Amino acid sequence: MATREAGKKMIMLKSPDGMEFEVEEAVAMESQTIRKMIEDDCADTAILIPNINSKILSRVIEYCNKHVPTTGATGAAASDTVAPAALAEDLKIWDAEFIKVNRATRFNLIQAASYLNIKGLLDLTSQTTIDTISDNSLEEIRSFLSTKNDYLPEEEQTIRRENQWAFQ
Amino acid sequence: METAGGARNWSELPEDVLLTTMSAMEVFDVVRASAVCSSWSSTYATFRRLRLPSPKQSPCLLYPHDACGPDGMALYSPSADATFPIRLPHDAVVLAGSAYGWLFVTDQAANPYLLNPLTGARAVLPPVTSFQCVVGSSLDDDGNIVYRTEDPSLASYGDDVRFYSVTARVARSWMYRHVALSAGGAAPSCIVLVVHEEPMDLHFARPGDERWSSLSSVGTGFISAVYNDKDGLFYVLQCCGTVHALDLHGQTSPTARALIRTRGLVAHRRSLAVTPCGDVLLVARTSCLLERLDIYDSRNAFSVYKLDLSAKKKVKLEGIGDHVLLLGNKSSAVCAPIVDCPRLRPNCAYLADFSRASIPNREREVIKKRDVAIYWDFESGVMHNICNMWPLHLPDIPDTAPAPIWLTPSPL
Repeated sequence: MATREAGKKMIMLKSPDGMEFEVEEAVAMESQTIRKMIEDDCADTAILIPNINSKILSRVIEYCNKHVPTTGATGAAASDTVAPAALAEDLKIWDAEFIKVNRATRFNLIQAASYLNIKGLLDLTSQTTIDTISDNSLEEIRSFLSTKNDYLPEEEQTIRRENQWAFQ
Repeated sequence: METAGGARNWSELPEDVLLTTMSAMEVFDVVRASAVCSSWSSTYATFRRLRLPSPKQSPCLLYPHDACGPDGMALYSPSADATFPIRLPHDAVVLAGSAYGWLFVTDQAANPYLLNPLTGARAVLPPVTSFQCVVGSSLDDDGNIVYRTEDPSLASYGDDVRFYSVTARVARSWMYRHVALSAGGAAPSCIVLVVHEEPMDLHFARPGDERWSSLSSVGTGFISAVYNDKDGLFYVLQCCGTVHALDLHGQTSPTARALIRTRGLVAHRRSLAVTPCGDVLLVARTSCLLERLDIYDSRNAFSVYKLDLSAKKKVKLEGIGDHVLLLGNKSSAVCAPIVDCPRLRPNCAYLADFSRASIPNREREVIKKRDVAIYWDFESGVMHNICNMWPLHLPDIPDTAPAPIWLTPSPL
């Protein structure tokens, strides 16, 4: 949990399972949804984040902490001393580690990124979906993504006929 | 491993998330994703209805491929180094142009229509008999359609020269020299501009129109056309070198402006292209390719000019920098940033062409040899053959098979 630092405005985020996360306002405002709430003065005490459990919310906060610009939450380590290119490279490596989660978590992260409108996180999580689709056969995609093939056999036949090349 | 109860069904992915994801995918993957399950399929329908662009698709080469069946075509993506078999409908006999992922094709009777080969979608165009130069049609003794055509410029030679009849088979190839589209066939703003092989004049129509509208008032002798989506104008090039800008979007009659005369350019083939920022280029190939590539080891084989429309002059360019040109005598020339075309080389022009494309006359077949998998490097001034690098299968393809054509697939 974040600790209160002098001069930094803190925001309380609550997950539906009752956990509370105190984060710097700048970190919370990585989420465009929360930013809007704060700017519209709807965030006096605490913000309840519906549909996102504490496990996922803590991961999202972790992501925002890392990605908040300038010398935000992580303190002195950031931009003054490190070249921007190295910083970007560092973030990329961090992102790659961050997204090494199981499919269920990834799914929940996508949902959370979508609801909270955090573009970077949505791009990061969606890229894994794109990679899955681009690198695998249709059967493999269905199995990876636990999607049921809900087509009737004759529907599937038609789809295969019309999109023959997609099934190579 | 999935945690218990955590295995989520990804067909429940929120539609807006999947839409965002789809617009970051390559077109091929978007279509594949649509086949995963019915909810993704309906998201794909929404994706197309909203006309969301799929930004990463690079140009592909569509060419006849006998391994894909008698009417089979293959779509080769140099950037992905992947080949996709594509089956065109039986009535897609001649491919006369492509733009925005759509093909301009003709059926057996030489009637044109637009086809998106990826989705199978079609857009109806007016029939061949509504071109000004076609004065009638009849059936010959074998039951084949014959079009009676007229070239008014030959009036002084008498009626048997002025009027002549062509079979549908011949009409299919020489009626359509070059085609430019202002948008994909499903877009309301789609306008099709046709340059005829003979007598090299212009017609335009929108999908669903009843007739082709003649642009004979603009002139004749046109050899290339391109649409510039930055200013909404078609640019057409006459063989005498004059470039005109045509505004065909207006409700009133179309307007044409002669912009620039590019005299003194002797070239085997010239075509117009538009850069991503809207500059109009004139690309000239100074001699016919023939079969030996080494005759091309000359800096003058290809030249490219930027048309400075305000100063009314052409400016010779040393090259096209971090862009790539995709040329073909049917597909509209594409000038794309190299970042959009991984694995292609910058400052190069890739061809999909016929090498001995003399101007076809009334009964002569012209397709002899296809120039594909070769590129011209503006920097070194050398033509490179990459037949060994691109896994194309180009055995002896009958002359009747469609020529290779550049196509940037689009789901729209």
